[in-house]
Amino acid sequence: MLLIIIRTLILFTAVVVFLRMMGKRQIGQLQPYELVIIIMISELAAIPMEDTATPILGGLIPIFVLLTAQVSLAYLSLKSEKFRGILCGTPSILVENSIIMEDELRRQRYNINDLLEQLRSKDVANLADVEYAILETGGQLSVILKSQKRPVSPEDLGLPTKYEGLPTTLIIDGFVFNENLRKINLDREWLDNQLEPLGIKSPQEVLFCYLDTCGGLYCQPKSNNEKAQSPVGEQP
Amino acid sequence: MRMLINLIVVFFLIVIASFGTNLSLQQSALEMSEYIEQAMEEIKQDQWVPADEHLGRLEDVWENKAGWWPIILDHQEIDNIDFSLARAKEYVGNQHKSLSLGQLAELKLMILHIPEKEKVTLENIL
Repeated sequence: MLLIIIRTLILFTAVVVFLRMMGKRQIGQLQPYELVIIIMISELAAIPMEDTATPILGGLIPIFVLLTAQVSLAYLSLKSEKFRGILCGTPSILVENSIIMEDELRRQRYNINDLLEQLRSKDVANLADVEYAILETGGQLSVILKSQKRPVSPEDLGLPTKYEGLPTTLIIDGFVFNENLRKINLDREWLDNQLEPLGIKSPQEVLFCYLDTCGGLYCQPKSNNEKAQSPVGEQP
Repeated sequence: MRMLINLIVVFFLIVIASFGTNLSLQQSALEMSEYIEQAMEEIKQDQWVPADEHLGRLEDVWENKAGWWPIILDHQEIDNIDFSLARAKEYVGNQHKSLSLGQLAELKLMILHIPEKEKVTLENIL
């Protein structure tokens, strides 16, 4: 029993490391060959995990070979458009100027109900609003609306907008991100000074605290379910 | 790109190690089968003491040179050889001629089967 626990931990660690090495794309939208690799890895890891008669290397080496194959294929498809087309396929236009491309739909074995379902899931109820619907190589449908049907943007109305960057996280669950403070040219002393007027003596009392790009500090203390969302201070 | 190069280097190291492993498996198996053959010849001539000595040497080789086999081979197969060797020793110790010869023939086949199973042949691949 102890043996199974140790083997499980080893294989779990190996699979996590290998998946991390495969990159972020691997755990997001999968290409067909990537899906194959994921399925094979799960099976390869499970067999030596439950069967102690199988050498653990019998699981680790094939997983490593799959990792090498995946990274090599990803590199080749990065370098060659032709190879990418063969390996991943090419996107298919299913709707063009509100007209369903019947031949393409048939070729992809994609029925009209599937198409309408996908359009509805993208908040498009009327096919007449669609300029393009493209079936991507990963299987998801991208919908491009006709220009007159797109949501109005500030640019359409000629409205000036303020710059909106990313808020900087300063504290999570009492842990101060000194590196983030340094990036915005602030220090721990400044943070302590900002927390003091809010009645917070130490960052350890804070559940979540961030600084927005306008200089507003938002802070939520940990204790008593007290939610204080209090912008303080001016632009630092 | 650096990761790809590292992976390919490790991959080729594994391939080279696999060839080395297969070679070592074959050599150890041949050495053990020679001891078994010698023991069988001696048993046929009712020379039980040298046969027992050869089995002792076989056991040494099995423990020293084949100690790493479970890392790459099915543990069940290794256990079967252990059991078979124990039975053969007992039969030889008790001077059962036919049982000893039968058991040693089986043991030889089991040991030679291992490198044969690991060989890179079309039959094994398919």
